Amino acid sequence: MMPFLIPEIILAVSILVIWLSLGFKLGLIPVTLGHILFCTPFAMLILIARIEGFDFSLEEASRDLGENAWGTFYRVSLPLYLPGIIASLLLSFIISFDEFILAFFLTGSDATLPMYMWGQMRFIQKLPHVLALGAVIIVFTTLIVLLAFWLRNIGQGKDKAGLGIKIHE
Amino acid sequence: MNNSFIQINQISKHFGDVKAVDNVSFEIQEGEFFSLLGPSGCGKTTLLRLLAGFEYPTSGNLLLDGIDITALPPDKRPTNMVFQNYAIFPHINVQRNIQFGLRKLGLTNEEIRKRVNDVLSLVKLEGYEERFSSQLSGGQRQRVALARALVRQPKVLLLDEPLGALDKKLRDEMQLELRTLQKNIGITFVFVTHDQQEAISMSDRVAVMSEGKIQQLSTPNELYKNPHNIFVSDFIGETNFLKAETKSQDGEYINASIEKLGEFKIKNNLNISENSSDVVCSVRPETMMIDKEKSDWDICLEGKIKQTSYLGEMTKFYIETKEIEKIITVSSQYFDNQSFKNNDCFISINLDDISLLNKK
Repeated sequence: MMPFLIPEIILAVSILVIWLSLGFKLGLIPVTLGHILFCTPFAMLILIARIEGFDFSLEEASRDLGENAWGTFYRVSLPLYLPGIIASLLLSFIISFDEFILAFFLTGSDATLPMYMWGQMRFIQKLPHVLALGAVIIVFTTLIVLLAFWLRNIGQGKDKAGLGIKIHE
Repeated sequence: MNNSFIQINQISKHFGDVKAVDNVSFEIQEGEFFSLLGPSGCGKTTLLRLLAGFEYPTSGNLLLDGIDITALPPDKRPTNMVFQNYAIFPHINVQRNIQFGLRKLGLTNEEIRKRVNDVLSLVKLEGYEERFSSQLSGGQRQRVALARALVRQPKVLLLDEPLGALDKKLRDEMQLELRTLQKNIGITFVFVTHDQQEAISMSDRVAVMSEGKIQQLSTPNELYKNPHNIFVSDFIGETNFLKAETKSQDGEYINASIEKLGEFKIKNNLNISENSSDVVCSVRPETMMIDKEKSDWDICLEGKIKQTSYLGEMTKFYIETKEIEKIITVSSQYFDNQSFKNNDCFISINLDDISLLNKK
């Protein structure tokens, strides 16, 4: 949970210092690693909520009905965790997609989309393009976040016992 | 080899310092309806989970049909379980829940369809194939869980308090149905419950457990009529305990003094030692008689009714007497609390209905 608590700029500078002192070049690889580090706590928060409510007797039932550990994972656990996994994937994607600070320090010459927009803003005649792109991004990310939360909430609340989630009332 | 189907040999299961199951040995016959009965935390569910393969014993071994299954994982055992919360897979419908366990049996599609249809009619769930767990009532879920286990035609069906979540009426119905089902298909049932009435009414034999040990293993009738110790006597049905001391043995009988009632010759079924103060007498409420007048029974005491509770088919009287320290419970079909003037009454006891038990 540490990347959650540290100000992003400190995280970015720390990664930059470590990366350069190890003798590597800046580019998309350190940005990717930085984003993984930054997104993991968000993904974990969503998945933990899902796993905490999981009814483990379902896995036992599967073993009891003749499936081995792999079969149980494939036929019972994975389908039940899947909405949570997809939700955390979408959320991580959105966070990474419009993340600026980590990218600013670590990209070097490879640009991510926010870095590209940052670059374009220096030219006043490109401003309408940047604004249009910004509007599209806002709509796009809103839809994805809504989808992620809808997926996360499947089986919680409304439909009891719907997806192997115990509901605490 | 003897004919016992399941052999449990000196099984222990420890969780840290806790001995959940403590050196237990017994045998279950083929086709038997066998119950494990006890209060919560007595180790009955752990024992069932050991049979299913969800836990492995700390020591001892398990034999099923002559084969050592101690180290087999659950998917390799010819047992199936009905879970307490039914554990119906919520992401697939009833049909696919029931088919779930058939995949690895190498059956043709035709055979699978036949087995599923047979088991659906057995548990009376035809027409529910397309439903999901969330669209079923408690009783229907229970039937799906039963069908899902039975469709694999296991050698032993393990049931972990399957009726606990149902309401009283439905529970009584399912008790009868389960019993009939078991007689018809002839599969060995191992049934875990904390409900003594449930265990007694359904089982061929019952093992009463407490603190990880078997307290008594016998038929329901024997359990009620002839409990081996104070725990079993207290747990099965209701009883009155009276203080007692044993004196000298006299053939089958032993002389015992009971509270301030005097000395009596009581049948010594459990080989209780002479001159012991570590014993109690147990008298069931329904074996005593309550009346307005004195009777010629072996013991007749004058008493005062302190409280009554009307239960429909009978009335329970809580009676105070001079001779006995505790309030005595007597049940009667014939009287209610309006029958007695000033709450004065007589209670009568036959010596045959008194059983002597060791305290430990």
